[in-house]
Amino acid sequence: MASPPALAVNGLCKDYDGRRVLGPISFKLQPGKVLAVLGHNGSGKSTTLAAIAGVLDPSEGTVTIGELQLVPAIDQPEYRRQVAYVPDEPLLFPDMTLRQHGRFVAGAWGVEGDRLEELLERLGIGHVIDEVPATFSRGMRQKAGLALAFLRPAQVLLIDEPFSGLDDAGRAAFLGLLKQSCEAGAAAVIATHARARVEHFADRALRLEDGTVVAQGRPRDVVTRTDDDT
Amino acid sequence: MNQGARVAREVRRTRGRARRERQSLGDALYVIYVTVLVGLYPLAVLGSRAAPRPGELRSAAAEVEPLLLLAIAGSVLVGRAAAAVRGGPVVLPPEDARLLLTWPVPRRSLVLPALIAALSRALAGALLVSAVLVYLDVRDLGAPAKAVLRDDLLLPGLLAVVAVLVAWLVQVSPVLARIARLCGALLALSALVTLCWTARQIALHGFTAALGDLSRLGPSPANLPFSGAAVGVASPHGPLVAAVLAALIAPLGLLSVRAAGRATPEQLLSRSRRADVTRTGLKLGFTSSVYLTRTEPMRRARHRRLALPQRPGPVPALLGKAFVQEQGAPVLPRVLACAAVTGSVLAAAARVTPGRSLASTVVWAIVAAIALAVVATRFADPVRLDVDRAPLAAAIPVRHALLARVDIAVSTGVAFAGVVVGVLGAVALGLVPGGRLPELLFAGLGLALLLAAAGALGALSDDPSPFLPPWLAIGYRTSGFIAVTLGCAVAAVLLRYQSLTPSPVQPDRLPQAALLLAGTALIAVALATVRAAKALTRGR
Repeated sequence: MASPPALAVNGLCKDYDGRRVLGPISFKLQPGKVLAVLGHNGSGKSTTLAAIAGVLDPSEGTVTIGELQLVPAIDQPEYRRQVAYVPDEPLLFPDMTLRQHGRFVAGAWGVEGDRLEELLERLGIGHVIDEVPATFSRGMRQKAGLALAFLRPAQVLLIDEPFSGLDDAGRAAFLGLLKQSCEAGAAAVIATHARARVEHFADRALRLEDGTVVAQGRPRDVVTRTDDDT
Repeated sequence: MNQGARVAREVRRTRGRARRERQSLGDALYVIYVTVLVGLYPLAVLGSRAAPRPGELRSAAAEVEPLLLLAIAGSVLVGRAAAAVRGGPVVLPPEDARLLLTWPVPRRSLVLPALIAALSRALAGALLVSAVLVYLDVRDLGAPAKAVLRDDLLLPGLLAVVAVLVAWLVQVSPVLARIARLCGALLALSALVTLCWTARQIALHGFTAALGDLSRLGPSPANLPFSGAAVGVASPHGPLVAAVLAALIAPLGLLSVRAAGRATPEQLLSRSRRADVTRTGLKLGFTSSVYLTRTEPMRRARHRRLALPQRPGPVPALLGKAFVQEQGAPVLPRVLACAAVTGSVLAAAARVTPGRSLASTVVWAIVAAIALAVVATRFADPVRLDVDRAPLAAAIPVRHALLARVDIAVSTGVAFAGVVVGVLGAVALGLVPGGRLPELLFAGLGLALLLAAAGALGALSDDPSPFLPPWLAIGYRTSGFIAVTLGCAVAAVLLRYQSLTPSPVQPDRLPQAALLLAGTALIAVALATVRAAKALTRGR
């Protein structure tokens, strides 16, 4: 018998002022698998991730993580506990050090915060753990956001444009951490423009155009079809 | 306490501590300075008008007071609810909203502190209203009855709490939001109808009769909750209103707490974002205008381009550049605003009784200065743009002082157009005698120079060196405002004291006042030129 999916998205749609900007989108993702969401700017990648994370209220459709179905009007801390969401612009408190961030994230997810130092070291910014992000470069903010995401024992990782601003070493470290998380049973949805790299980290890919799914399947097939189209 | 709730509380505390540590003494002094300025000027103006003046008009106004206060109370309740359709009492700080709403933190632990903060702010406002009501009652009644004081002290607070709780429920409930939107529209419509009706009554029958008609519109003033000041005794309905409001608080509070988890992250995020944009807009547009500190360039796309002058030479080119830069901000609204403020100041000056105290003269001058200062910030575009893009501007092969001088001259030209329209308007309306036109135009030139130079000083003054002592930093930041105030005060004092001379023929001091205004303006221009030139050289 097949194991239940870590993430199941069924007919997910998002409307703004009566205008449909996303959907319907449906897919299932098994634990340990990575789905790459591809598409041009404005195609709906970030909206998809935000809707799955519960930051945007879906207009139609359902999102289920494990046994928990997202219901926007009900406060579901347990749902959010299963999610590690990194938006395209990494979110950090400008006036708190990374160590403080780590302490609070660990507290909220009920885990040990000691791992943050190791994660930051792997991403190459261990030396700024006691600094506030106000002075960080784009790449450093991105790395800090990723480290804080991997600190969470989440069942689903939702990462928007993880490669933007990262140097080569940072990219390699990110892919290493992603692999490690997936081996531990997490599923990941990665929105990216980096078509060339998709095959290296994704098990499946999904391509969006104007908010609708135009291709879904093996990364190589989706990327090839995208290349043919463009 | 839940682990997530504890984390949310700790995050708030840590951020609050960091914010307090970051704030320097200069920042704190600046906030005090701004608060005192905002608070004291209107109070000083109110104070000078506060003495009771018995008479028909006063009696008619007293009759309308209860109805007016009741209308205000109703407007607060309905208006607050209508505003909650898009804004809301619960607005999370932007970072808290964007980060903590994605964490496994109970939403209630984020929403309830924000609701309590909104209630505290509303209660603080209500306290201020209570103080004003008590002041008015003590002024009018001497020793008001306990029942009057009870109404004054209780009703605003109760109303404020109910208004915030209702607004919060509107914020989370789409059905209530639709009702609130409808009620808001009806309120606006009835306000418009009442305003038009009152204006017509005033035009037909004069102020006293119109106010009398207005007071007869509703129930007898003695029966309205806030009737103390008008009729000398508390309304019998005051306790009933208070009891109803108090009885509403418990169920509304309960519903509010239950609704705390129902606000969706998207809704809270959108309110937070909107509030942040509004706050930034107010910060840039209002505060910085009043105190003549730097405003960020919020420029429109240019629809028309001025042709650059054909004549060769640096000055025509600089003039053309400055005119094009002026054109970035809408010219006509600025000229009209300048005209309106100049006309109003002139009309007020013509009606001020000469010979009153120095304090009232200075207050009058400062109020005029605030109005002019608000306008002045709009006449600093060429200097501001040149300093913002110093490497570009400073590369023009002329002395930087000339660049600054031409910028200020062009801004003065635009401001002068507004001042001339204002002066001509005041003369045409008969507010000032037409025979004084030449002196007024000369004074207007001084004023235009002062506006442009003060605007430039303000635009250059947002970034005092960290090595400046706090009191000097405040002076630096507000140097534009100081320039306008000084000019207005000097001219006002000279004009106002003309009747103190014992001679039956009053000496005409308008020319001297105009000269003094021009003198102050020239000093401000010199300062602005030197500072703009230095900023250009430094920025290069």
